[in-house]
Amino acid sequence: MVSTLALAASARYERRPLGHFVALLAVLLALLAAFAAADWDWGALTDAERRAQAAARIGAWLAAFARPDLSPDFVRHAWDLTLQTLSAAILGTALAVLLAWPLAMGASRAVCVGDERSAVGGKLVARLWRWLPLRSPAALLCAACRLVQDILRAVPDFVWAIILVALVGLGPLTGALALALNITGILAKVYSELWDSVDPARYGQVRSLGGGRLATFLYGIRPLASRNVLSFTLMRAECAIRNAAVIGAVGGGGLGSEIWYQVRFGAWDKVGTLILFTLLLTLAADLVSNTIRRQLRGDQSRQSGGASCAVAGAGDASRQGRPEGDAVAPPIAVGVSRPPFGPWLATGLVVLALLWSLWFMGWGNRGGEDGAARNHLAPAMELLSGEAWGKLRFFERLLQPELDLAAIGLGDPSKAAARLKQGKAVELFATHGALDFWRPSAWLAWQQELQKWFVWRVVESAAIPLAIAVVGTVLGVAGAILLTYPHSASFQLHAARFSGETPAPWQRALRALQLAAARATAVIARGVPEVMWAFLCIAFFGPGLVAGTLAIALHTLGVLTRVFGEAVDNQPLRRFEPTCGGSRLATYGLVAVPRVWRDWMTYGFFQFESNVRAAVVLGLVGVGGLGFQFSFNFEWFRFERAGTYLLMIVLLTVLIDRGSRLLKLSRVGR
Amino acid sequence: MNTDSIDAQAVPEHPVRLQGAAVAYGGQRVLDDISLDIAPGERVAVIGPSGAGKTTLFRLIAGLVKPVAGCALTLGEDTRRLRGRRLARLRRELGFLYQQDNLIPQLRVVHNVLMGRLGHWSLARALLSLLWPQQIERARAALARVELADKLWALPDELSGGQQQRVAVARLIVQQPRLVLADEPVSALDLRLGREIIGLLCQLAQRDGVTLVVNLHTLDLLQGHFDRVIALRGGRLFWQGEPAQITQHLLRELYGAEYRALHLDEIEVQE
Repeated sequence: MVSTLALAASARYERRPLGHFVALLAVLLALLAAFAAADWDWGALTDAERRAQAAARIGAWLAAFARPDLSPDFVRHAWDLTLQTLSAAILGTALAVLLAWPLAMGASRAVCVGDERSAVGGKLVARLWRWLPLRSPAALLCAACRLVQDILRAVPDFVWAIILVALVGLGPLTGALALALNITGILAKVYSELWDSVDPARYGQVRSLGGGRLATFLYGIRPLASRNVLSFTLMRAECAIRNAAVIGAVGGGGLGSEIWYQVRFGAWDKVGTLILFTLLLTLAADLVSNTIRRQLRGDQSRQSGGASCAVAGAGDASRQGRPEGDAVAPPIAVGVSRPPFGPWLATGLVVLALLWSLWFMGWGNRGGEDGAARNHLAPAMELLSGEAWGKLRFFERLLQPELDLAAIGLGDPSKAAARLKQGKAVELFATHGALDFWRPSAWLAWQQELQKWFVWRVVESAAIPLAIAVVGTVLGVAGAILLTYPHSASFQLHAARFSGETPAPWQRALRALQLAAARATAVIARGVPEVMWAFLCIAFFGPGLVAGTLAIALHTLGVLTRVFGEAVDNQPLRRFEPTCGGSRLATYGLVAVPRVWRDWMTYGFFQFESNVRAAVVLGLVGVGGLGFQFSFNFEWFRFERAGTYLLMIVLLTVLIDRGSRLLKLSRVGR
Repeated sequence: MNTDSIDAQAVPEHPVRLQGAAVAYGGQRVLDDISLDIAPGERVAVIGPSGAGKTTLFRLIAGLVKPVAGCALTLGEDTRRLRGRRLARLRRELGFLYQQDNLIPQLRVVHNVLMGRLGHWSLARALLSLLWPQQIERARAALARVELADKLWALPDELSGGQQQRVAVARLIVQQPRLVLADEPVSALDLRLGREIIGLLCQLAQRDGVTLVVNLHTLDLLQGHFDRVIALRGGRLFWQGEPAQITQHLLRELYGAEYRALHLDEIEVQE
């Protein structure tokens, strides 16, 4: 028995494993599918004349970027816009947190439904019973909250902005509300998942002390999950700032609208200034959130001896997970003798920031055309007084998506017959029967028939964001792998410690220069949001898939180079010592990269997921596909058709989400 | 001294030559005034209590730390002036064997073994090898020499500790270095497996004429394998001689407080 086992094992080791070829093949197939699914116009890159034009535009931009418009007037204008962006982001995030809490409490099974004693016996029946929302009012509420949060989350903030512009008008308030709606969905989902993932045994004693569901939540579940909750809130706030900087492209005010405007006019020096301010804003946000994280990490090590239940829980959470923090701080005991001061200070700062952004949006803002103060909060008053709701007539039509049932012979028979007579109805098996499935021509014919049905065209338009995301992610990952080598401090500054080299001073200088250049590249690629890259790429190469793909690839490059580089630099240098004479580059490629490859691929997959959503948004600003079709139909008052595209956007997001959860790659709990 | 340097020109250079070398970490000297010559093909064991500077001596010879005084010549190169082609040559001809972390757990055995060819391959070939292993017959032959031919495609985690060290030895066989530095290669293994690995290393050294410097914690493995023993204490060269010359008295003096804990009194040496 043992020997046969050993034999089987050794036979296994003697066969060449081909897993990596399967993976490569899968990526290649995805790329091929991406190229086949959409009409790629490579003209901007292959046609000599257009390439020269694009190069000239890039050159003009680079030249202008080196000499941005720094006239006092424009700098003040840009500064006002930056503050406007910041206030919109703060307002949006604050609103989102306020809305997300009750929504998440509703959506969390542990909070909303609590412990259930199933009335019916049997394991399978009990499990089925748990999935039935109608079993109790609380369960129904829970299911409803989940539906609301899914919809809020699946509709991108840019789409919310397009809808809100019709309601509130152009301006930063629109941006803030759009961000708030989308972030509410995201936060509510993550909060409720975090609360649900707390082990019930850990808050059992609150129960046994006679606490009701609310008390159990406030004193048991919430403190136990607070660190992860705060961490995620902070991350989202950072994201909100990046999105607020670009949401102006669809009427959300702030830096985005101005950049969009100036790009169209080709005022590259002004664009340069605005991009510099965007970078300033995003990098400052990055820095601040990192500082808060570090602060909280320090807090946690100082209060490790804390005695209260909450502190113990928080400590546990941090041991499992990550450092984090936010203003609505958990009850952290600094000392036993005096009440904690830190949370009050943090809460105070957040309230101040909130008040400032309210004031700025209402009265302090001179970022408008003529420099006069303009109250951007006024539309909100209208919203409260109910005037704006009158404009909401279109919304009803948006909720009745066009399904074009006549084309497939359903619905009103007379209409269906009329369509059939026009030859515009789907007759799937008119030329090729189902048994012809082995003929390529049959598939072509079927596709052509199906294209007569509007819904099919909607589904096909989803291929474009997917194709952009696939190609952009692959390009970005490849670029990040190459850029991580000059980006890595281990290989550029500390290589002597594992190779024994004594580099000449000029070599040292060269490597430091390489490192600085790589880091600057990554910082810019990451600090400029993908939508802003899309503005630039559209201006250079013309609207289309190529521009969108490049935008996604550039942003992906920046984001991934940072996390890839961290993974490499976190490796102890000693591990690179036994390399048997390989050069630095060989050590990087054959020792460092294999060690972190798995982590890299996980990050890459996450990025792909968010790139699909980003590609839908890029469609809105002119790249094409699903997003473009939505905004096009919306702007031409074809709300029913826009509704169908909106439905597809929601479906796409939900499918990607479910897919990644199926692959057990959920971000939560990592 | 004079005759020595004339000799060095006539016969192949000494693979290791330390002259009054000292190493300091943060101002404190962990190695001081080490003068040492190791001849080609010699098999040397380094012993001493923990903290005596054994590992630092290895890093000094490997060029991973630089002497603050004196000089260190490894395979004829001054380790303080290593760069470019000379660095590449030295690293190609220098083999390492550590207590652990020799292998890359994410790569299959065949890749780990072929890593020995990195110094000879171009980068393109090395990368291609990750997809389709190059010179796979060399890896097969080397693994056969350490009796692991059937584990060509295994992952290091699927092997036992002793098998992992044998894979690392197979990598040395593929690399064909002139000098092998083994830093406590058997400390994580039991005595029988340790003897096996040391035996393999010495066999490799004898067959290919490789100079071998092994850092040992277990004195049981000294006899019959090594030409010379070097004892370090407190960062200084304490004693050197043939394994047969070690006495209980010497060990007691060398190891001090650790003497009893290591059960050194059970070791058979000439009284």
